[in-house]
Amino acid sequence: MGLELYLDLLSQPCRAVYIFAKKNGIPFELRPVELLKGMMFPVFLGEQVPPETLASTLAELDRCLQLLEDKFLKDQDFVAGPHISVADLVAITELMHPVSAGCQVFKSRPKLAAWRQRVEAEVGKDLFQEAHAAVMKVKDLPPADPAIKEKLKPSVQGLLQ
Amino acid sequence: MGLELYLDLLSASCRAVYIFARKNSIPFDFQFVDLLKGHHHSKEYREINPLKKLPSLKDGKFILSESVAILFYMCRKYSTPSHWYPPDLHTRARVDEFMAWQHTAIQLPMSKILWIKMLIPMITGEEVPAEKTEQMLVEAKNNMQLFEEKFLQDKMFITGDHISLADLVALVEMMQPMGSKYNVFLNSSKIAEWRMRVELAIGSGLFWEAHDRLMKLAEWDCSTLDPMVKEKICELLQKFK
Repeated sequence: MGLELYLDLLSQPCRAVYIFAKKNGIPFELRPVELLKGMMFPVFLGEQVPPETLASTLAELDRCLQLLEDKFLKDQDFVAGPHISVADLVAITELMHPVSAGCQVFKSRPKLAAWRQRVEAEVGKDLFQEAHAAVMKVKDLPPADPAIKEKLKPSVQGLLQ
Repeated sequence: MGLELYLDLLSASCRAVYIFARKNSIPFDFQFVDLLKGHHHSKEYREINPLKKLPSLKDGKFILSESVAILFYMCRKYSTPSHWYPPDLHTRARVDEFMAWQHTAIQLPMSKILWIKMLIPMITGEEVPAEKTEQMLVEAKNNMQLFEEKFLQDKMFITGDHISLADLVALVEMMQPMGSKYNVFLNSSKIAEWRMRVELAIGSGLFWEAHDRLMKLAEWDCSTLDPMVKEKICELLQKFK
């Protein structure tokens, strides 16, 4: 039995692993696992996230993006220097997550936008789009099964705190 | 100028780096950055590490942050005994796995216990609501169980018969609540025995020397706390309410 990868492409770390394996022609069997990540809190809880929580989360995201630009990327083409590395893969898959929620991470950040283009080009546009297809469609997900919703509610509420 | 390590032994990540360097007789200059005085936010330190976090390593012009990265760097540069970061594919992967998992599963809950049980009440004069405290303690307990079942199992150490970076990091983090006299090792004899083994492998002298500042935290006169830092901590309290 060869390599098996248990993945749900809704998850950022799963996407990084998937892209890396495919890009490097590493043979594996995909074992899809369906997580109900519930990143869409309003959809999941049936109520809006309090504006203060949203504001402070976005502020935190902004701060992290600034650090990514200033400390890790700086004036380089990629995070670790002139060539793409696993660090770029991990970073990009994480950043695509808020993008899928409609958060324009790259809009006011030309340096990051340029870096994203470079990473996408290195990975290969097709593979990149393929890996992100699931998460870009998350807004169109059917409503979660009420039983599962109830089960996940406490952990979703925990994430909000 | 040789290797410089920017540390405050109050931090678990700093203790891991300190113990590893000392145990392997890696020569370094101890640059004390006082967390209790908020020196990690100072202009001087921000030039070393804009992330304002400890530990940092400075090797000539090369600056490195993140304790896990620093530990790996020291292993490679100083060719430390291979049991610390075993070369075997699967054994090494096990260490990597633990190092990735521990940030949120062990380090964060253990650090929160210290904050909730001692630092926040000490600094703000207010207790964190009992419900939140209970939630935190349960989370920590569950993760200790996961640690035992998935990483330790019936072995002497995480990778088998010898101590590795994974045990060092795990233990210094689990020690963090001891600063508030909360002992997480009481729940499981297996973990208590592992704890003793790791301490002995490190050497009790070095181990307790590294933990001295943490163990004396209760004696700290927090009126000397930088007001800006105090304000940040009061904001932190709001998150727990």
